[in-house]
Amino acid sequence: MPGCLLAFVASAVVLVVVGALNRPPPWLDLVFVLPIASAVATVWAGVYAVRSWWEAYWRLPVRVHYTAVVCAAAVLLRMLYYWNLLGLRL
Amino acid sequence: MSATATDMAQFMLAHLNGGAVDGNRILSSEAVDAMHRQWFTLHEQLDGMAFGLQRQRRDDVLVLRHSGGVPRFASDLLLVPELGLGLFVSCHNGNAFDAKAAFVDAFLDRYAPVDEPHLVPDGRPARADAIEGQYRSIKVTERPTYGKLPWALFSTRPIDVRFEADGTLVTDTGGNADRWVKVEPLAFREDDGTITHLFREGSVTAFEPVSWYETMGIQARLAAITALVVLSGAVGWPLGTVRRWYRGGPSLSGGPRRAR
Repeated sequence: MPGCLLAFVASAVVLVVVGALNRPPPWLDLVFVLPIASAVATVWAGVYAVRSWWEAYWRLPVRVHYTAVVCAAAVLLRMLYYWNLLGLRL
Repeated sequence: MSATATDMAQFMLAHLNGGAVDGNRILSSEAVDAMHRQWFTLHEQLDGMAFGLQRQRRDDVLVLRHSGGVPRFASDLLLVPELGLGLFVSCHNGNAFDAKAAFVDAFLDRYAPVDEPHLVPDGRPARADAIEGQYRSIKVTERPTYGKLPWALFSTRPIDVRFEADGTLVTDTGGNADRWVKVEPLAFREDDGTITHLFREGSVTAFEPVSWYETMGIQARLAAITALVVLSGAVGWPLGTVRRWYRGGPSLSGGPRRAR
């Protein structure tokens, strides 16, 4: 999940830096699959974040970190939604 | 569409000479008149749009204008029909927008100066708190595609609106600040008293207020912080797996494994 999300953010930065948005490459649609997959994975991870507390999977610091990553991913995805980057809105 | 500065000069001369230049007619004089009149305005007190040209008044002198640009490139076309005056300017490089704006402002101040009346602000208006804040072009806020972010970053600038203690209204577009003094009550849409749009002289588009968390500064910080935390997961989770494998400890199973 985090890798997928960061891959999208990184590819978006690269596309902007090389000026590819003036002439969008044909594979641009594929890049937008990444945030959708990340959203699905984040929901999945969110369920496990709750279970990790409920069923005490890990030591406390690990649980806190896992929950922080899921929350950060959720905020980042909400920002992608605001900027029309979540979903195919070409 | 691309054109050379020489061609733009011919085009402007045709507009200033009733549609003909050097005996060659490209527009009827009626067409020129029709192209210069108002076709649309955001508000009846603003001069609005002519046909492809933005109208504005310098005192009573009509200025027709079409500006444009892409990152690192900015152009402007100005016609002042009453004075038989035209200007076409193109700038490139990082500060193209500011360089062009400074040149056009200086040109207009020299050839179509505005007699600035001495206005005295009458204190902070009652609704100042509701008015202050950041406004963003509807070219960004209403954009339904992924171009929203590139437009916000590279093609438009937000307007920061604030009042000074004496009631002077300041509209600041990235260091380019204009100061306004109220000459009549500010207009509000009366339905629920919220401010929905900002219109200003000299701008073709309307602006919408944005919440504090939608301002670019907050969005950039939030993106950086959340990306770092997500990065800690992207690096930390596989590292944890490797460490457990290296130490020979029990690997995760069941729920904890599926969680990653």
